[in-house]
Amino acid sequence: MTWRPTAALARGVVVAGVVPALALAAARPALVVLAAPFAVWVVCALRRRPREVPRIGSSTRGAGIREGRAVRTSALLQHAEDVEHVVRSTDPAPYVAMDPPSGTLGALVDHRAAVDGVVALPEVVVRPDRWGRVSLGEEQVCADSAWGGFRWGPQPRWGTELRVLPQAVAYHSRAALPSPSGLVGAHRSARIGSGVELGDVREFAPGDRLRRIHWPVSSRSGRLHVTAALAEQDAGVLLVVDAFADHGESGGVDGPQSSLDLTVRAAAALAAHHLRGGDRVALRVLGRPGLSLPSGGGRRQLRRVEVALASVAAGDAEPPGTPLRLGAAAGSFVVVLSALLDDRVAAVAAATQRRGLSVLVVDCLPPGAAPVAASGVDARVVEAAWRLRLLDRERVLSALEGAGCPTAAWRGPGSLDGVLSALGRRARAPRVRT
Amino acid sequence: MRRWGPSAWLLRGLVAAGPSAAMALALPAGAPPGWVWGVLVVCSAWWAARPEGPAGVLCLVGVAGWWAWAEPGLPLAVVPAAALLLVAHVAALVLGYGPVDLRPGRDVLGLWGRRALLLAGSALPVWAGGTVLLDAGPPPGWVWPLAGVLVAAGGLLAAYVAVGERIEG
Repeated sequence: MTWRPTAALARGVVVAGVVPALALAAARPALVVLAAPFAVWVVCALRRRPREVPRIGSSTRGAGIREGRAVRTSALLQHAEDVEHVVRSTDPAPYVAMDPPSGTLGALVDHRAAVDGVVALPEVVVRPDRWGRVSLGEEQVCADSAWGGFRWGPQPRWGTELRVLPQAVAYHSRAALPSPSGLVGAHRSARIGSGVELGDVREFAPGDRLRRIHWPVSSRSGRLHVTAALAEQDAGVLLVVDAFADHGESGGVDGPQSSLDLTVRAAAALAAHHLRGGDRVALRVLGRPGLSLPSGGGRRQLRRVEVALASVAAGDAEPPGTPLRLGAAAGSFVVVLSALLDDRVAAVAAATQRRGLSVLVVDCLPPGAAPVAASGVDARVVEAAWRLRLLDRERVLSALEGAGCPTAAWRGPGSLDGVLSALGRRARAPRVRT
Repeated sequence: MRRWGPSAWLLRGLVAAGPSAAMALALPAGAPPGWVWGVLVVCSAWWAARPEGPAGVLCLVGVAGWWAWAEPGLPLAVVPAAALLLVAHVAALVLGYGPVDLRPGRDVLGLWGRRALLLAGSALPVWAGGTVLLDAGPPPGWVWPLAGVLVAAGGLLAAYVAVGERIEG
C-alpha cells in the first residue's frame, strides 16, 4: 500500500484552481482572496509529499494475561519519517473492554522519540473480561502526512489471539487433606513423624531426643515420657474439570458466571492453593483429554495448570464408546468440579471412590442458571426440559451421597472446609477391607 | 451521531456553519434567494456528516460563485469569508483523519488551529495588494490572460504532483 492524496487535497486543488479561474473569467478580484489560503495550503501539503512507505512493525501484547486485568497493546510503525498523524482502530470483540471504548485512537507522531524512523503507534488498552482464548478484533492503521495532503492506509491487521488466564480467586482452606501420602509437606499426617503438632505422649525409648522429654508427665508417672509429633506430608491432588457443556450465561469477570466459568475459576483457585502449599497437582479435563496434565508441583506446574484451564472450551472429544478414566494415582485426593448434568461424571466419581481414593465432588452449577431458548424453539418446552434435568441432577447428587462421595457447592474461600474436615476424619478412622 | 465526541461535534459544527457564515458576509452586496440558502445549508450538513465526500467542493465553490455574482469589488469582508471557508476545510480535513468515532485530541486541534490562523492570514496581504492595485487604476488588458495562464499552469502542476504519479504508477 502506498501514499494516496487525501480528499482534502483534492478539494484544496479544486478550490485553488477553479476559484481563481472564475475570478479571471468574471473579473472578480474578491475570489482571488478567497482562494489564496487554499493555494498556500496546497503548496504546503505538496511540499511535504511523503517518500517512504511505512510498515507496521512487531507488536507487543500480553501473552498470558489474567481476566479482568488491563493490558496495553502496542505496535510499531517503521519508515515513519513522513508521518505526522496516525490513527489506530480496533474492532470490538466479545468479552473485551477497550479504552477508549470505541477502540479508535489517533495521535500526532512524536518524531523526537523516533529511533531510525520507527515510532510507536498509540496504545489501546484492552481488558479481557473472561478467561480463555480471546481474539481481539481486526485492526486498521492509517497514517497522514504533514499538512494532511497524503494518506497511507487504512492498513488492516488481523486481530491477535490472547490467552487469558482465569482470575486468581483468593482461596484458603484450613482443613487438612484426607490422604497426604508424600514425603514432606504442609498437611498433618495420620502417622507419627517429625512434625510440630502433638500426636502422642509415650514412654522414653532408646534413640529419642532429650528435648522431646515431657517433664510434667514424667514427674507424675515417675518414668520418662516423650512427646511424639504427627508427620507433615504433602498430598497428590487430582483436579477433574467437567468441560462437557457450559450452562448458564457468562457475563465476564464482574458479571454472572456460567457453570464453566465457575468450574475453571474454582479449579484455578484450588490449584493455586495446593501448589503454594507444596502439594502435587494433576489436571484432567473431561471432554478435552488433550489438556490433561500429569502430577507436578511448584510455580511452573501452577502456570501449566492455568494455561491448560485457559484453553478449556465446552465440548466432548473423549473417545466414544469407552468409559471415562481419570488416571488418578494411588493415594491422591480427587476433586471433581462439575455441574453434574452429565451422568458420566457422577459415574466416574463414584467408581473412583470405590477404588478407595478420597473423592470430593464440587457442584459448579451457578444458582439460577437456565438455558437460553434458541430461536424457533418454544421457551416453555425448554423450561420444562431444564426442570427435568434439574430433577435428574438431584437424583445424581443423592446417589453420590449414598455412595459415600461427598458433594459441596463452590462458594469461594472456605467453602470446602467442612467437607474436607469430614473426609479427613473418615480417612483416619479404622477401616475393615472386605 | 452518538459516537461523536465533543471535539468532533465542534469540528462538524465549524464545517456546517462555515460556508453559510462566509456567504452571509456577502449580504451587503446582495441577499441570495431562499433556495440558494437552502441548497447551501443542505450541502453544508452533508459535508459535516461526510467530511471526505464531494459536498465540500460544492459548498466552497458555491460560496465563491455567489461572491463572484454579488460582489464586483474587493471589500474587507472577503478576508473573514476566506478564513471561514478555510476553517471549514481544515475542520473537515481533521475529521477525515479516521472513522466517525475518532476523537481528535487537543494537540491535533492546537496544531491545526495554529495552521489555520497562518493560512487565513495569507488572505490579508492578498487583499491589501489587490486593493492597492485597484486603487492605482484598472490593470492593462494583457494582465488577465497572463494571470489566467499562470493559474492554469499552477493548477495543472499541482494536480500532476498530487495524483499524476499515482495514475502513471
